[in-house]
Amino acid sequence: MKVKLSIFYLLSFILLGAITLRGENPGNPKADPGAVVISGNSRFTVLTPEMIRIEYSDKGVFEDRATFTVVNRYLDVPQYTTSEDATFLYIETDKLRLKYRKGTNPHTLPASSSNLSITMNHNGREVLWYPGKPDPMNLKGTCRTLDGSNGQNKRSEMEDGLISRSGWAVIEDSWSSARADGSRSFALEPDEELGYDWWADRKDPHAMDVYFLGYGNNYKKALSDYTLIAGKIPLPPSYVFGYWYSKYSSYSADDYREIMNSLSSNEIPTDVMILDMDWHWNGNSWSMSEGRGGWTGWSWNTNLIPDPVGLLKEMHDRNFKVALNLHPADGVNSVESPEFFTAMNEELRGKYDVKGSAGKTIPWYLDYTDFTNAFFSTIIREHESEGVDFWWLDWQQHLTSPYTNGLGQTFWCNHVFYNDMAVNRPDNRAVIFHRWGGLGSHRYQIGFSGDALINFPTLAFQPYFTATASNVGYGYWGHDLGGHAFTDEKTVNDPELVLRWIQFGVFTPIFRTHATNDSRIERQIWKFPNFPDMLEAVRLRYALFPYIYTMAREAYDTGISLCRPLYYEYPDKEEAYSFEEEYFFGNDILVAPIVEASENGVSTKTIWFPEGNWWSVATNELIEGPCTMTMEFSKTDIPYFYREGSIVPLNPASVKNVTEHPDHIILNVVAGKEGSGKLYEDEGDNSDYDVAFATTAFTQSQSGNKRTLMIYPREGSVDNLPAAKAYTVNIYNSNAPEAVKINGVVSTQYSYAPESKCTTVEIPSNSCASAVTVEIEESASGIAGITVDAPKIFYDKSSDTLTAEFGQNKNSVELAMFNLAGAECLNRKYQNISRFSEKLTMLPTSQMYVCKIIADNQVAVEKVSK
Amino acid sequence: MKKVISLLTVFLCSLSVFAGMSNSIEYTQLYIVGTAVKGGWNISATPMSRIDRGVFMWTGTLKAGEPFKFMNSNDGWHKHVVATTKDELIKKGEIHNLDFYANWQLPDMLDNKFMVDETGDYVVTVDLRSMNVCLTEPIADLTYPDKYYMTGSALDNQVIEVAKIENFEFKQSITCKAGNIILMDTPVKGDDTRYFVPVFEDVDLSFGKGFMSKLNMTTDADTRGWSVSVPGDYIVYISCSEHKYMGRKHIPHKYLYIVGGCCERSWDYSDDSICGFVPNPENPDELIWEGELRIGWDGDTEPDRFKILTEKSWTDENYHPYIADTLAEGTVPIRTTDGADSKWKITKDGRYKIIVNTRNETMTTIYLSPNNAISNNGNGTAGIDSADTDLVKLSCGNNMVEVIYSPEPVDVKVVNLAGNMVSQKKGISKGVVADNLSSGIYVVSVVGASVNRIYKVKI
Repeated sequence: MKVKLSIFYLLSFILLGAITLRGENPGNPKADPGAVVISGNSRFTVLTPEMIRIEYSDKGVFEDRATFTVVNRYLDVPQYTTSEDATFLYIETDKLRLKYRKGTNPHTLPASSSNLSITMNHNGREVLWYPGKPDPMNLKGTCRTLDGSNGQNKRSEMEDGLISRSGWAVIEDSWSSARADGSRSFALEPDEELGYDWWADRKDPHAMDVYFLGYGNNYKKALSDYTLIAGKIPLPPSYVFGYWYSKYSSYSADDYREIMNSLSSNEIPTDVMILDMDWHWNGNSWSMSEGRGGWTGWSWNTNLIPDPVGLLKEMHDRNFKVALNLHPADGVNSVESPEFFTAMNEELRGKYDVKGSAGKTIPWYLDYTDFTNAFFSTIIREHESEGVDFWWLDWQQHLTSPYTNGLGQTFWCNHVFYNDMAVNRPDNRAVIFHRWGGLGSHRYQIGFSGDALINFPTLAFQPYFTATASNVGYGYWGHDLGGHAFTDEKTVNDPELVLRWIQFGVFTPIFRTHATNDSRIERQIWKFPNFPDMLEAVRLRYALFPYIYTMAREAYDTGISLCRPLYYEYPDKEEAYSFEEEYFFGNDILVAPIVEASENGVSTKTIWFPEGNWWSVATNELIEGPCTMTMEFSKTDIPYFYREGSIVPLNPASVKNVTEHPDHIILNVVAGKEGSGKLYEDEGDNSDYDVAFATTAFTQSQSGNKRTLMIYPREGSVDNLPAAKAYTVNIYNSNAPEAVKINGVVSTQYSYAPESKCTTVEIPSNSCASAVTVEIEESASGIAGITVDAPKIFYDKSSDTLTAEFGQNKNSVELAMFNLAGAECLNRKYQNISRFSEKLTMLPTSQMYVCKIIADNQVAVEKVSK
Repeated sequence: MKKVISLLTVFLCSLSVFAGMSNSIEYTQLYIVGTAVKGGWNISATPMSRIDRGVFMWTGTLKAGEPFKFMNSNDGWHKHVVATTKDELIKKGEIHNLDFYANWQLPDMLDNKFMVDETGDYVVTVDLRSMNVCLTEPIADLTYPDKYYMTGSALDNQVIEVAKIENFEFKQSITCKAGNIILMDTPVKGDDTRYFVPVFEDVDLSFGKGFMSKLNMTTDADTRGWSVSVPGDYIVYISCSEHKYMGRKHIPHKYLYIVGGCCERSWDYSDDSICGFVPNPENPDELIWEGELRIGWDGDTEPDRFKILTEKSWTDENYHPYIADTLAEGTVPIRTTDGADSKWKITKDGRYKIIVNTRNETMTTIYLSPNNAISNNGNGTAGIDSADTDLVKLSCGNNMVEVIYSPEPVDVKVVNLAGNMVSQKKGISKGVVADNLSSGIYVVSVVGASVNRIYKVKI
C-alpha cells in the first residue's frame, strides 16, 4: 500500500507541477498563463467556457496560492478571445462575454454594470451580470447546522449555492467577503512539518477575488467544474454507510456491552458505535465525574468506562468502528486531563497563556502549528492507539477565532482534523464528522447536521435540506434520525415518526439514529412496538449499500452528490423545483419519503414523476411519467422508484456489515428500455482509492421477446474482493419467462412472481474476470399461458376491472377487497369457475387495496392501486 | 410541566451553546457614528438602510473635518467597521476599503475614521461583502406618480395599471414570461414618460423582501427595469410612503392558521383541526377555514380579534389587515408587506367561513349562522348545514361522504387536509362519493350548473 501511495504522490507531483503534501487531494493553484488576462489592477482568469475568475487589487497584487475555497486553477485553457477599444476590454468565450472598463474597480457602489459586466444567453434571452448584483433566484446550498431546526425555520439560514435559476452564480472568494459564520477565505500554504497546508494571510486582504459561474441550467456541469477548482468530494470509508448506534447518555462500559448484545440478539446490522461526550470527564454528578471536566474533555471517565482500551477492543471485535465526540473549544485543562496538560505544556514550553481558574488551561490555539502539533501528538495519537477510528467534532462556540481575525473555527477544525488523519494514518481513509464551515468544506467529509426538534414538520424539511446541500458539494449530511430534542410529549417517542425518519434515513448519505441526553427519548429501536418495521428499513439500507457506495464513488469522480434535487435532471420543469420533498438518490432511484403522520395507518402523498417510466417498489407497478399522482402508502411502505432501464446492485440479506465483500450480489433490474448499471468496489478504508478500485458493468437490452443481461468482467484490481461471484437477478416489469440461458447454456434456475411482474434468475458463481450473458425468452403475451400454481390476478385500470384466472376449474372462489386500514370493502363469492372478472367502480379511486382470493385451497393476495 | 421543562431546557441549551459566537461580522445591521453626523457617537442614533444582503445606504449631512466610522451592532462598542488609514479623507465618487474588527478595546492605531473636506449632503453606501464604502451625490427629490403602469417583454408588452390600495401601497399580481418588466408613469411610452427602476439594474423581479429598495427614476426608454428569469405568477408591491419596491414569486400556500382571542384555542396554533385552513380543491390559490368565532372565547387578550399565520411560527410572514381592527366582513385586502401586528375584528359570535386568496391577497369572510361549534350530530352532517340552502343534501357519517340528494347533476370532490384529493365523482345526483375515510377534516366541493359550494366536514 505504501509503495502505491508513494508512486501516486510522485505522479501527482510530476503531473501537476505543484508541491504536493500528504494531506487532502492535491492541486495546482497557479493557473496556466494562457488562461490569464491582466488589465491594470484587474486580472481575469478564464477557467472554463462558463467560469471566469475576476480579481482586482488597487495594489496590483494577485493571489496565486490556494485558498480555503479554491485549491486548483490549473485547468485546460478553454478557447477564448480578447479585444479592446479605448475604453473597454472584452473577453469572449463560447458561453460568456465580459466587458471591463479599463483602469477601474470592477465593483461600483451601489452595484452596477458600468465598470464590469458579463452577458450570456440563458433560456433564449440575454442575461446580464455585474459584481454585486443580487440574485433572489439562487437555488441555495446549505447552512452550518440544523441545531434548533423546527419545521422550516432553518430555510432562511441556507447560504447561496453554486447554481441559480437566474443562470449564473458567484463564488465570493475575496478575503473581505465574510462567509455566513463571519469567517474568511484565507490563503493556504504548504507546511512541511505538519505535512499539509496551513492558513496564511492573503496578499491583499482588500482585493476582489470572485468567480463567475455562468452555467445556465446545466447545473451538473457547474457542480462538476466546481470540484475541478475546489477539490473533489472525497469518498468516505465504506463503514460510514452502515447503521450507526448513537445516543447521548451517560453510558457505562456495561451499558455499551448491553447495547451491543441487543443489537446482535435483535439481528440489527450495525457498523459504527458512537461514544458521545460523557466518555470524558464532564463535571456532572450523573456521569460520576463531579468536579472534574466539563463541556470540553480529553480523558476517559474511568468511573463509567474503567477499561477503555478493553471496551474499544470489544467493539472492534464485534465489527464496530468507534468515534468519540469532541467539544474542543475550552482547551486542555489540568484538572480534567492532568497528564495531557502536563505533556502538552512541557512540549510547548509554557509558551501559551495558561489561565488559572478551575485549574490551569491551555486555551484552544488551533490557529498555530506548535499547539496543533503538540495537541495531536499528545492527545489524539494516544486515543487513536487505544482504538478510536475517527472523531466527531462538535464545535458550537465562537464561530471565528478570538486570535486570528476571521479564521472560521468550523472550517479550520475540519481542515486540520481531516488532514491530520490523512497524513498520520495513511493506511486509513481520512474522515471526520463535523459541520459545514463554508465553501470548500466539501473536501472534509462527513457532516452531522445537529440538534433538530422531534416532530414531523422538522422531518419534512430534511429531504429538501439534504438534497440542496449538493448544490455546494456538501453531499454527506448525517442527521439525527428520529430527531434530537423534544418540546411536545405527544411526539417524543412516536413510533411512526421515528420509523418515518429512519425510512428517510435509508435514502440519505449517513444512516445514524441519535438524540440528546434525555431519558425520556428512546433511540434503542428494538424497544419500539414497530421495531420489525424499523429493522426492515435497516436491512433495506444494508441491501442498498453496493448501489450507495457506487454512487458515492460517482460523487468523487463527478462532483454530483448522492442526494440530488430533481432539477439537476429536469431543469426546465417547474415541478422539479416545487416538489421539494422529492429527490434522486444516485442515478436511478427517485425518493419521495413520507414526512407526515398517517391517517389510520394510511399515508397519502402526491408525487411528481418526471419524464420516463418509474417502477414503484412499494406498489409493484410501472408509473408513466410525466405525471403527478396521489398515492397511498402503508406504514411499512417507502415511496421509492427505480428508473426504467436501471440495474441496481444490492447486497444479499446475509450481509451484517457493509465492510463485507459478499460473493453473492443481487441485481434489481427494471425492464422496459435499454439500460446499464455499475458496481464499484474497493478495500473500503484505503486512502489510495483514487487508483485502487474495481468496477463491474452491467447492461440490459431487449429485442422482441428476448431480453439480454450482460455482466461484464470486473475491471481493476482490489486485493480482498472475491474472485468469483454468484448473482440473483430480479427483473421487474417483465413478462413471464419461457426459457433462460446463462452463457448459452439452458438454465432452470428461474422463477416468476406475477404479483410483482418479476422474473428472478439465479446465476451460479462465476469468475469475476469473465463475462456472464443471461438471455431470457419471454412469453410474447404477458403471463397468459404460463402455468403457475397460484391464481393470476390482473387489474385493468382503464376499465376498472379485476380479473383472476385459475388455469383450471375451481369449485369455490371467494374474492375479498380490503383498504389499507384493513376494512373489507368488497366481498364476492363464485362457484365452479376457472376465471372471473369484477368491475371495481364501487370502490373509491386513488386508493390502494389488498385483494385476497381463496380458490378452493389456494390463496392469492395482490395489491391493487385504483 | 414536562413540556415547560423541555422548552426551557432547549432554550437554555441554545443560550449556552450559542453564547460567545459574536466575533463575526453581521450582514443585517450597520450604524454610522461620529461627530460628522448629527447622531454623534450615539451608537444607534444613525442606522443605515439595508438595500441588499450586507449592503447599506444612508443619506444625510456630513460635517467637514469631523470623523465618522461604522458600527456593526448597537449592543456596545464591539464590532467596528473602520477606514484603513488614520483620518482618511473620502470624496464623492471614490471607493475606499474598510476593515472590520471585533474588539471591545480597539487600539487607537486600528480605530481609523473617515472625514470629508466639505460639509454637505451625501449618500453613503457601504458594502460589507466587498468591504467598500462610497459617497455619492444625493438624488434630487423625486415626485412619485399616483399611478404606475407595468409593461415589458415578460408581459408580452401589454400594459397593466398597477392596482392601488388606498394610500398604503400599490399591489399587483401578474403572470410573467421570461423577459423584463418596465414600470412607468404613463400608460403609453412617450417623450414625457418617466421610468421607475430598481436600485439594482435588471435585478430579478422577485428581489426586495427585507430590503429598503427605493425606486429610482430614469427617462431612458431603453432601461432594462427588472428581469424575470423564471416564468410564473408574481406579486409586486410599491409602498406609497417610502416608494420602496418588493416582488415575490407566487407559490400557492398549503397551510394557513387562524389565531386570535376570538378563536377556540386563542393564540395557540398547534391544533390543525381547529385553526388550520384547508385548500380549495377548485382553486389552488385559495384556502378555506370554517368554524366558530366567539368574542373572548379564551381569555381577554384581544378577545374579538384574529390574524392569520402562514407558518406555525410567530416570526414568519403573517396575514393582517391594512388598518388595525378592520371588521372581518366581505372581501378585504390582506397586507403582507410590513411587520405590523394589526388584526381583524368581529362583532358577533357565530360560525364563519373565511376564504383567503393568496395570489390576490384578499380575505373573504362569510357569516354563516349563530350556531355553535362543529358538532357531529350522529347523522354525519356536521358542519355542512349550509348545504341545505342549495337543496343539496350531503351525509358525512360512517367514514363516508354521500350525496343524499341534488336537484341537478354535480361534480363532487373530497380533499383531505394536506390538499390531496381522496375521491371524486362526476355528474351524480346521489350516491357515495368517498368511503372508508379516516377521521379528520375534509373539504367537499359540489359544483353543478347552478350549484358551486365548498363544505368543510368533520368525519
